[in-house]
Amino acid sequence: MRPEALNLREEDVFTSYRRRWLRLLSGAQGKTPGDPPIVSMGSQAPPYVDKPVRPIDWLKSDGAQVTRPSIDPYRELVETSVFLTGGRTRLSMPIGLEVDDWGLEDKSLLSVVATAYRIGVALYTRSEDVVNVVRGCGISSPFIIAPLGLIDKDVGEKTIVATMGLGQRAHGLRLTPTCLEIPSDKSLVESLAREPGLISRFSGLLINEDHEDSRDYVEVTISLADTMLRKIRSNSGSLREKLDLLAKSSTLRGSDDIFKLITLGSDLVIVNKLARIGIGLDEQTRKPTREVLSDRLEYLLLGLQREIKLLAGAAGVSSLHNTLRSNRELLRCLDLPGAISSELRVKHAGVVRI
Amino acid sequence: MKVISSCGIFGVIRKPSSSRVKGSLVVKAIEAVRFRGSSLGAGFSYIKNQPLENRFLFRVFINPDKEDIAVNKLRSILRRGVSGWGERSYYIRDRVGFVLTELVVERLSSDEAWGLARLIDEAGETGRLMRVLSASPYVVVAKGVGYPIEVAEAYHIQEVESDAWLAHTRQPTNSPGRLPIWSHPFSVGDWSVVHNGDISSFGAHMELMLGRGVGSLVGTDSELIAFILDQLTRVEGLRPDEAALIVTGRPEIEWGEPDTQLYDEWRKLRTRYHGFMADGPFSVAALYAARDGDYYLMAFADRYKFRPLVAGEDDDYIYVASEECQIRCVSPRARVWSIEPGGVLVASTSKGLVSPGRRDLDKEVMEKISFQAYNSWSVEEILQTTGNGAVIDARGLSYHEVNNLIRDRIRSGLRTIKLVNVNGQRYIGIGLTEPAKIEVFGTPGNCLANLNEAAHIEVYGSVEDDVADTMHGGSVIVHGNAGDVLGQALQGGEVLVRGCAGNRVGIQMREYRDKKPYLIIGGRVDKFLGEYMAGGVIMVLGIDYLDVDGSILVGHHVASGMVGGKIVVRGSVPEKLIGVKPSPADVYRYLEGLVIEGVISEADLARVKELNHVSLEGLSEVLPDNALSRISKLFKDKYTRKIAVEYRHLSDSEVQELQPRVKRFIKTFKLRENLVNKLLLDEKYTVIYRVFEDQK
Repeated sequence: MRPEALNLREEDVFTSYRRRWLRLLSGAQGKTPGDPPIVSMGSQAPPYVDKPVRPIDWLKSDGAQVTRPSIDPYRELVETSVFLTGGRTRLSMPIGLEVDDWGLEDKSLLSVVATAYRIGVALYTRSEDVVNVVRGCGISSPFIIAPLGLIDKDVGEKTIVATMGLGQRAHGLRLTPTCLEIPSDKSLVESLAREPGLISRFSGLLINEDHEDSRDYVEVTISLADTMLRKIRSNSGSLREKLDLLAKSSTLRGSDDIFKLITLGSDLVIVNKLARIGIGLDEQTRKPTREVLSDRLEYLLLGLQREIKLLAGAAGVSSLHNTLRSNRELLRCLDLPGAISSELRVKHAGVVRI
Repeated sequence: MKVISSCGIFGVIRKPSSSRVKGSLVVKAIEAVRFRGSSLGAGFSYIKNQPLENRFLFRVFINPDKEDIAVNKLRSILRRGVSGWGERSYYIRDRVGFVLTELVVERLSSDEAWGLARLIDEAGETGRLMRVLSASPYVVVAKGVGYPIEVAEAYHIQEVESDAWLAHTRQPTNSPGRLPIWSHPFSVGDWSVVHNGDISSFGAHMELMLGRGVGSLVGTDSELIAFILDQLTRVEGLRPDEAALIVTGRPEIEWGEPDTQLYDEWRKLRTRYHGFMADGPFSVAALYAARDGDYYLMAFADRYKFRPLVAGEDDDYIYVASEECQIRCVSPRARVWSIEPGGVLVASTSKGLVSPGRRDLDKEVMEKISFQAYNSWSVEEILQTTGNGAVIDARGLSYHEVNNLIRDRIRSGLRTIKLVNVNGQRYIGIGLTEPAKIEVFGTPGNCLANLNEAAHIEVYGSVEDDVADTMHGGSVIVHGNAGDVLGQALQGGEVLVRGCAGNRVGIQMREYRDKKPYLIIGGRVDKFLGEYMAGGVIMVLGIDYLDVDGSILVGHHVASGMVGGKIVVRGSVPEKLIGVKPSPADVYRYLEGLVIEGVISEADLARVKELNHVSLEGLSEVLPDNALSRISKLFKDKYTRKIAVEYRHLSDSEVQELQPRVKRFIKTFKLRENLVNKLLLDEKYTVIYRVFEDQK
């Protein structure tokens, strides 16, 4: 049964500050869409500090220092592109988007799908409508995560929920690498790790905190999966070197959460509400037109990408997928209970072990 | 006086027909940059002259305070794991003193030897008890706590001769230096590695190695480079140069156009060897003993070259070093060049120099200029022709002593001073306010003429990094080549360099009041020319490339973040080298999205791909306004300023402004006089400058 702690209250997660921030990025508010404000002491601009609500909030980024200089992402290169499914799927940033519950009519849905494709993020869906829109667009590059069918094999006491397809065509070849989707549950990951033959059939493992059977925060499960997959040998390396890890939670709030999840092992982070709120779909006022919707989503995603670049640059990281993924050394935790920090394998700030 | 610096590295390999390299040469070269290190660690690595056939020499550090426990554990592992071994121990008298146990282990495969080393490391409590320093039939590591000379004496390095060597002096940043386990070189399998830098991908590499059976690491990024190189060659079966190329990596924008062969090759490498690419600042020198009996010296720098790395050769040896002065102190007339950002130098005992770490033509130009600069004078001649008071012999003097002598001479009324036997002394001529002329014969160290206000400094040789930083007046003339970060924050006066210059030349140059700096490079430059430039003029002439069609005289990211001033580069600079642009893959995908929405046609997209580069200016020639306005989001943000890029002849006013400086350049370096008109009137330039709102 899903523990109550996972059912975070929307007002705790998306505070008024967060909502304003996301709207600033999308252009639903303010006049510099897509450009996160850069602030210093004395400024009245954001950022704001939210109350911590989940383990990831006790993690801090251990930034660059004098011998490892920071990178200015506006004038120097910080790569955010990711290569998934053995290199066949290229995305411009490690973000996936779920839009199934946005209540979009056909034309708006088409705009959102086309925007996600244009900007180079993945689209997660279990909706036939969305799949049909994608099919109708004639998109050739892989970017959609959608169900291929169900799998009936039980693992331990849990059931694997579904297999998902990531990508359809690449370079003229019919390729349907599949990704295994599971609820965010540490015990399920441990069970899977005992069946390397099963898990090695897939090119990715998607951990979905939104699933009703989830029992753990996605950051904890992802980190555990990242660790356990490294213990499974596969040819010359570990299974982790061949398997993508995808994290999904609709209560992730922004680039900070995405950045930290990558640092804990995710290759791709699938979000939902933060985009819906950012582009103004949750407001009671008149719904934005499809053109406005498309524009806002585009700016929001570019804004998130720029924020991730700023965070990476501050940590001296010039290639997100190569350098940031699983780089727990770039994180430190503060006041996080020892058991959780051990699970995440993140060091406590200020503690030096020599 | 203590100079806080960063690690110093050195490597040397003999050429195929040359004799072995003496340890005394190596000690001398690494001691030449003693100021880069500290007392917290130094070390050497060399190729064993008589490799042990199918036997492995394990060198194991034993903590003397826990010797009994360590030795018992070690023997217990050996009894369980190997069929036979020989053992002897020494007490190494470095600054801390420790027991070095040598084991010769028989009948092992490379993989088994690797596994045995990991078992010992894991039992060694991350080095607090014991740690394998090297385990190979070929590669030997000798390291300890102290300055290089102290560690060399502890191991009698001066008495050793070898085909190839590495040396290191350490300035720790993220790990302590109280035990030799943290000193360089680090050796894994048949590799040993020395490193200067701080790798931001450290944590990702640790996770990668965790998945490859490495359970014990001492906690420095440098050790991980050795593990990565070993995995790529021993386990993945790659050649050593391929392994180094993967570690240095290439940004996607340097893979070429999507769907080309080059792009696909890099895409496969990035995917297959995901997590192997090192990020952050580093320069690395490495030794590798291939199983075919060939020994390799390799050197590579990070893709943005945040750390110095130069190479050189003479008739007998090939060298790599942190600073040119290291090579000059053991081979004064060596031909020296710098490794380019992301470049990989490869040399072997059977093949000699295989790859110089930059384009062959650029290396030849740098060598030629360097040779001319160092062979146009001799110290004896200078001493004979100059009055004693006007010559300062810098041999053995610190920079502080040299600068005090310069000031004394200026105070005594001398207006021309010659410095001879200069080799690596930093800060020469710093903050001089008198218009004296200082002629430097040799290789001044970093930070020459910083904060200079009036002095005219002429160097008959090459200069290292950070020359003329924050210079307000006077001049610097360099007859050889220049290193990285030349003319940073230059804000007055003139800098003329006959040869090539390195990375980040002229960054943050500025002008104020009547101060307007000029920086003229006779050769070419690497990445980030004029980054954050705010004023003054940078000119890149490429004189030695005049007869080479299509030469490109700059690296990537020219004028990135430029807000003022002017950059003038002879020849056409491709758009893709200017500023920071989105990757072509992102641009094409965006346009495919517009095709789906019916905003542009397939034909429009095809025309964009034919452009072969993705700049907003290029797209404006092909795309309709509505599409251009939408895609401009990928190129623009509120923090970058619009710059103009024009390929043309110099305008009359530009000729008028630059003529006296180009004339001076030609005269100073004794070049053909007719070059002045050719350069100013005949040649076309890429002219880059900031566009202000009222210039639209």
